[in-house]
Amino acid sequence: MFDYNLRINKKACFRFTLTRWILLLLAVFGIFIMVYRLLNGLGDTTHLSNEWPWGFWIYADLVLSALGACGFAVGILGHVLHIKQFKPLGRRALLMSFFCYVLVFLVLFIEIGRWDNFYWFFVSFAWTSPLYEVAICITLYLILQFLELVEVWGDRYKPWVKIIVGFFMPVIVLIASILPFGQEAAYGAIYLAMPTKLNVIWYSQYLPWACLITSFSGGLCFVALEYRLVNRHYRKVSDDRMIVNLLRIAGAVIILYLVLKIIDLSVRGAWGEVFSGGMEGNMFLLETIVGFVVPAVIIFSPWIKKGSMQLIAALCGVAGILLNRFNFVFTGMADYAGVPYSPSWMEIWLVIGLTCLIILCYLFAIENLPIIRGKNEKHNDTVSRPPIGQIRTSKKDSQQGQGISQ
Amino acid sequence: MQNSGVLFDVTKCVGCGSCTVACKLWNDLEYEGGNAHGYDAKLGAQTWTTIQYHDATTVTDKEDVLRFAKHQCMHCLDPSCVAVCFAKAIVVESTGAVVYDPKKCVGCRYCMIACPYDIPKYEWDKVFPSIMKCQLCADKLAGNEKPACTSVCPTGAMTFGDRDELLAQAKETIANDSRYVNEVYGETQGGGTRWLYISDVPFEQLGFPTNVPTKSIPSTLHDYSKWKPGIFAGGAVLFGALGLYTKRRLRLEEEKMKEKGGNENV
Amino acid sequence: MKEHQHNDKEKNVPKITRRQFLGVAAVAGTMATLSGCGVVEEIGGDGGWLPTQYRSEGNWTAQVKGRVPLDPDNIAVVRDDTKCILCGQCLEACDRVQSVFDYYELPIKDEFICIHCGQCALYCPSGAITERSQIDQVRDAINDPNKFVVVQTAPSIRVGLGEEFGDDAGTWVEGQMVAALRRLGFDAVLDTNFGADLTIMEEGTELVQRLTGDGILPQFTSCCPGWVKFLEYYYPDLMDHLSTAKSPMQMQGAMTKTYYAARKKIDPNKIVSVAIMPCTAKKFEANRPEFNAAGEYHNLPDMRDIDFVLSTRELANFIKEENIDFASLPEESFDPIMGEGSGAGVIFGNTGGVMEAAIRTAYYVVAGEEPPSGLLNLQPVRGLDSIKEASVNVPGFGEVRVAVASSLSAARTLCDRVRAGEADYHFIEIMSCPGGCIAGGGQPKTTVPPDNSMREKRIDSLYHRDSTMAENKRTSHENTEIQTAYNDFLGEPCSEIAHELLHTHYSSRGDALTPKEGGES
Repeated sequence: MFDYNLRINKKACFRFTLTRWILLLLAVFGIFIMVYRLLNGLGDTTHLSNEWPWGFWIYADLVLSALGACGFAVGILGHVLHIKQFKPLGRRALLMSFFCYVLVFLVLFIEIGRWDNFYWFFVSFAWTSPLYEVAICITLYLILQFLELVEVWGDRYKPWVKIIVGFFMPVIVLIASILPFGQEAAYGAIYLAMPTKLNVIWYSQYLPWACLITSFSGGLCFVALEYRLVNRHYRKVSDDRMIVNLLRIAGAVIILYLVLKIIDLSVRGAWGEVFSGGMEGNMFLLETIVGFVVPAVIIFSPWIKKGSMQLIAALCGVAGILLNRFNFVFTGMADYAGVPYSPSWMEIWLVIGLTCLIILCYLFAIENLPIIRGKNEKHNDTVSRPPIGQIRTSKKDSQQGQGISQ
Repeated sequence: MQNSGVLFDVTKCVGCGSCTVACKLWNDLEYEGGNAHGYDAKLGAQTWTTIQYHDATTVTDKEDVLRFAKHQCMHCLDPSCVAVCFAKAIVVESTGAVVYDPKKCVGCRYCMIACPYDIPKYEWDKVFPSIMKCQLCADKLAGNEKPACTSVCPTGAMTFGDRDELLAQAKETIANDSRYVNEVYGETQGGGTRWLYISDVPFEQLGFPTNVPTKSIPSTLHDYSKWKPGIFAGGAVLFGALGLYTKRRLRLEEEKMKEKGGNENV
Repeated sequence: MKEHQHNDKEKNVPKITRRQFLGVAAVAGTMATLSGCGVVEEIGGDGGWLPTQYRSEGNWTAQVKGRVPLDPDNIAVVRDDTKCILCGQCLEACDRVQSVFDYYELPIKDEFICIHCGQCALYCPSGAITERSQIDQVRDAINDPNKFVVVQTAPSIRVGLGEEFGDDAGTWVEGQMVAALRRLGFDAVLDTNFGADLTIMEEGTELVQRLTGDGILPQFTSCCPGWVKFLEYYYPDLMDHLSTAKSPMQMQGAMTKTYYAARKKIDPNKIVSVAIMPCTAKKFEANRPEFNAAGEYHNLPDMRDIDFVLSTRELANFIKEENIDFASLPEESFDPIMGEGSGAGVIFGNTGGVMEAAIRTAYYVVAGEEPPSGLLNLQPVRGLDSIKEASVNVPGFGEVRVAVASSLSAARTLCDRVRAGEADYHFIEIMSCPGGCIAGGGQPKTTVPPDNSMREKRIDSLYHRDSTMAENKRTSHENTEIQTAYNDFLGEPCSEIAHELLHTHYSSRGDALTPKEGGES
């Protein structure tokens, strides 16, 4: 049912621009740090300590997992609830989600101290550990996503693969839309084990469900953000109405989260801490206003019709995830730890480098697989853009980088 | 000993630090820039037990006194580290000792952050590091011996034995001597610990966390995870049904559109 | 053609391509990881050991176990935990010999109970417990051209120091010791025996005053700082029995920065007063806040009578560090003014010596004549018995009953008797360390633990020195430098200035502990 109007073009194609060279440079740098860390241990590369056993990499994992929820959020809307207008988003959300989780996996591999024992968790069956739940769900989810991507690949290169995988697709989609409930909630459940350490603002029996809900809204905002940015970059015609509807769903979820958070804080009597003027309270207010209240207000106001406002709302939604996860990984734990923590340059640049690598992979994928569809903007394009989602009639065309409109 | 326990009477400790030395000797641990006892003694990868010096005030006489607290793994009855371990590298032995197996450890350090007493420490400077913490001398227990630290105490501040008996003994001591704080630390903390403490100064003045909930952390986690199978199964059924229903509706809609003669290619 | 041959040769040699090599390496690495080879080290338990006494099965406890509690900030004694093997010997010394540990109720109050005697250091077989070294501070003072560093040496150093350089126990090395101190760079080498004689003058006079007046009797000697602190801890009610006279070291220190400085015309501010002592408690004594008599005298509140105390072992280490060949040194004599000591001063170093020295002078003061030769060899107070008694008939007074105790467990027995009113002695000498200062906590560890054969040899050496001195050099009041000091500076024993410089007061430490009723549990 996807009509990407593609003809099979076996030759993969990727053009390096200056930006991409920089990305590649950073990616190589990141890989270099990664190898260095694997050979030299955590003490050499990070600022982690007995007071701060978890740091920037865990934070990166939490954020990337939450953003990776875009796959299952769109999957539920498009392929479980079969809302027609969201179906075109399916593959791009899937791809982003896949790469987010690949990155999560990479960072997790770097983060654990005994990477030589990595295989152990596959056979440990430590069901009581939320972290195990995270790992096992992500692993299974990645496999399912990989199969889904194989179908996409088959769509373009090997039709019979698409047919075989496509046969199992309904089951795969079903499981793939259930599994993330496991990992997204389990990320919050990890912090259930710190009743004496995590600040009362965030520590709650409902933290897992808060994480699940925010990952849903955050994932949708992330898709909206990607949609606007990528479509602008590739001069694709955007479906504004669809994006507004998507954001409205995100907004509804955000309001659900806010209501639940207000009830939760009231029941536990934590409002005093919120307005105490302390660092934790202020950071919570920042998180809530910038990341949840502002996008909700924009989404349910007439401003949302403007493309720039859609972008801002989506950005704030993603920032909400960044701030929320930051607060319970760092802000909420700082008081207990007693000593400050700031990540080392290697901790930060490793994540940046690997992210650059993933972005390159993502660009390669959308330029060579039937991921993005839609009409090109109609005007004379003097800036060369790589053709995506379009027929490539000849090698010459693709080298010139001019998309040919239908 | 099936139900191992140690009762530490703070009033009997004279701060000699013998136990810290015994721990280093038996477990072949190094000294980390100083003694394992003193005002700023800290647990570390090579320091599995410390005697911390604390200026404290007695509860009955409000007298300013010097007191010593032994800190080491509390060996919880229902240990948080065991429940959260990514790889089942930490287990509870039949003696009750909470022991760690480096061969299974993945190094996620969740035990460190999940321990309400901040006991597990990490060998940060190693390429393939291990979690380091008191093992209650599990190898000595296996040979029917007492843990090293409890065997060397010159004043008998530590008693090794059956936890239930020690708890009864501790309560009797408290009942018969008004100087003691009316609490056995470790009786209920985090669902109970195998190390029990009685003291004549408040426990928070001895560096013990007093906000550890009586409900064990594993049971807190279970309160969450017990919903999971239901959510997965129920979700699968619900989503399956919803998917079938909405798909059918979509197909009918599309057919209707085609009938209308619309030739819309999406 | 050539190339063909080359290719054929290559074909015969088993070749590993890069891909194959990487494959083998990967498989080997994976296998090694899976089997746990080479990566994982054993953890806990097996690597270490414990002394056998702690290795019994079941719930038995060892008889000898643990170690003494020691304040990390203890001014006199430090312990290196890395060397401690929990043998329990220090507790044996502290508990059985000194009756300090286990003689106070638990819980403790707010300090570690320690009298700084250093017996634990003598008993420690692994060298974990040592004195708190001040060698570096002394070296710095010596190297400071603006300082005039004066050193005094206690009587028992000269019968112990040689043992650190291979001599037999008790070898008399006074001459080499003085020479070594000069080589180390001390500006003046004085003798604590002078201070000991001064102590006898003051303490003996005090005794006579107590005997002839209605003073509190028995009088306790006060020259042992460990004993003084012990009394302040456990018997504060008996503090009035203590002689107010300072110890020889403190008298020497107070005189060095007043009398000696005036005689030598040196700014007392420039004097650094160092004492070589057989004792670790002397480090504590030197730091007692009230021991700044010279500072009071000059109105310089920061001035201490004694700046640094080195133990005999530290002096030996100092000499070795400075590469001085002790054995080949010539014999030299002490500097004048405060360098002369009598035979009475010499025997201060052993148990019973202070008593004997005091009786010699007290006899002279009370009877008005020199003591008979029998009193110069007062056998009943000699020897290594922990408690010795004697009575001396002094013309003009009558019978003077005396007792001598060495080790604080013996002192505890005597104190309990005094407290109970069962001890009708006039004068009691107490030394903390069994055998007296010659086996003090700062002396060379010639036998570990210290034994009586070693103690006897050192004691014999001191008595030999006393007995071979000229007849008129064996009593304190015949020391010509002492006579000069009184004539020129102090006036007479127990004068006002003597009280200011040479006497002290004591403060109860009874609040620091609750003594255990009935002793050891």
